[in-house]
Amino acid sequence: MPALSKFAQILESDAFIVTCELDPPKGTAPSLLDNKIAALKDKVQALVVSDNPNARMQMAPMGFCRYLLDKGIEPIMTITCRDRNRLALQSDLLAAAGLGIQNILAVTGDYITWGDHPESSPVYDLDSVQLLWAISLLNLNKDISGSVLEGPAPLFTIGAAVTLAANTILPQILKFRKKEGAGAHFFMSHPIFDLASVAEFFKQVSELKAPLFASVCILTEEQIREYSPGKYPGLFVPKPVLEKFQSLNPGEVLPRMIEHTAALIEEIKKDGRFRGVHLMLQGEEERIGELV
Amino acid sequence: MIVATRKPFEEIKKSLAAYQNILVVGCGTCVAVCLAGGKKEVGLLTSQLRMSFGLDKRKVRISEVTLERQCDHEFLEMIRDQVKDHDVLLSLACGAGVQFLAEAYPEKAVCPGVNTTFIGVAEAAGLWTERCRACGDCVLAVTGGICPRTKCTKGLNNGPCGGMVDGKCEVDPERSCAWVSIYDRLVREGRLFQIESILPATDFRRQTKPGTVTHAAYLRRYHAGSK
Repeated sequence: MPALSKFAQILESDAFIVTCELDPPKGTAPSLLDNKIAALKDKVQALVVSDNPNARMQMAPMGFCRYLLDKGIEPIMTITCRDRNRLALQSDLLAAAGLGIQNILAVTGDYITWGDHPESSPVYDLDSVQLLWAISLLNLNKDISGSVLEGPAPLFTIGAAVTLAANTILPQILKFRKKEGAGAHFFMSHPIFDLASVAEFFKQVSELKAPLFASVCILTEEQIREYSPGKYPGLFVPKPVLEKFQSLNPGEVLPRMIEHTAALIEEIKKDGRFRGVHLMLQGEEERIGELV
Repeated sequence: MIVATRKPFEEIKKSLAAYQNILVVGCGTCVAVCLAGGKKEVGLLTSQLRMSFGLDKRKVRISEVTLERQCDHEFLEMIRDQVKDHDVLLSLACGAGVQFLAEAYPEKAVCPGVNTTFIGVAEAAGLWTERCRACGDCVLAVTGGICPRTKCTKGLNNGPCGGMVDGKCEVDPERSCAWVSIYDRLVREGRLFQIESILPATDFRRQTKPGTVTHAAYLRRYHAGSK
């Protein structure tokens, strides 16, 4: 029988957890990211490996997660509903479990036209709620058709995404509740840039059934310059934060962004509603020491 | 209705390059309503083709006819004599009509003059929008008369994706998120409970192509299964 993953064990403790997103290379050599991995290794409890982020084709996260495991780093494998039907989702999950990858972040996936293969067919055979349900069933040694799996059941720790800062929050909360019901063990938020923007969510949601991670993001200069609601999928930057950074000279943006994010992380730590923070550093992974 | 748009003129002209006797066949139903392939559009396209071939100094004979429908045998039969004199049929019907015309006249080349786009409605003058994906498993009773499989770009069954911003779609910020619309509608109707439980995964067997529907009264005649 497999044991619970290291990440699952940390989730059961009281520790404040730090995770960081890392995109696999667009190529065959995971070692291309060795410098970033070395910088992150001792700063985080797990690395969340993205799955063709922004619908841009990259190395499959399963291979990259195995590379991280070999380096002694706990991976969380993202899996999106965009690129695989229910057969492929489940068989990839079984393969991941077979390779020792036990932490999964199950998400819908940015729409295909955002990426570098915009003419491709999007799948969405299952949605993220149904995928969470499917992974919960795999943990019971069954597939979603009800067939029993051979050998020991996988022991996935199942993560889901949640939007804390949308202006239209009630439909998002409906989905969040369904994800809780489908068996999510932890939640990772879409990036937040201040705690004021999550107030409405917590007004509606007083009790959390699973640990919640607040995601913070180092915005690029281009994102700050070009931002408008809907311009970048999943990115919702409150106006006061945006204005603060738009008024800066280009060279000042990154250091001030790091300063802002470090202060936000401290606030999140003290806040009490979050079990941890998830860092989206967008190329600035080697500067993690300035944040945590 | 089925909504179509006319193909670019150059593409149509290229598809007719090998022929001298062209019959442009319009369809008086859906594609006439969406101003893509009815009598008026047939007339315009025929004139445009004549002028263009004339400028090219090509001798091409072009005739035109518009049927009430191209998706019924009885209407296709009405042009049997006229078809004999032509070597290509340029159909301005939807994809179904084009294929039925091709089946009715297997000895003739058939080319499409429109791109068939979706099942939709005339939202305003000159504006047609999609409403139905013909999934064979209608959930509109649950989702407040708004189809998530059509109006949500991702076709999600259980609520909005995280890309929704200010109630707008991740893919098109000008368009309302289907799940926000569904949510608001069901709140107004006091039926939100209908989407609070997890909707199961779509059964895609109902969308196995090509679909066949046999009316219950005709089952014995055709010995076919019903969709």
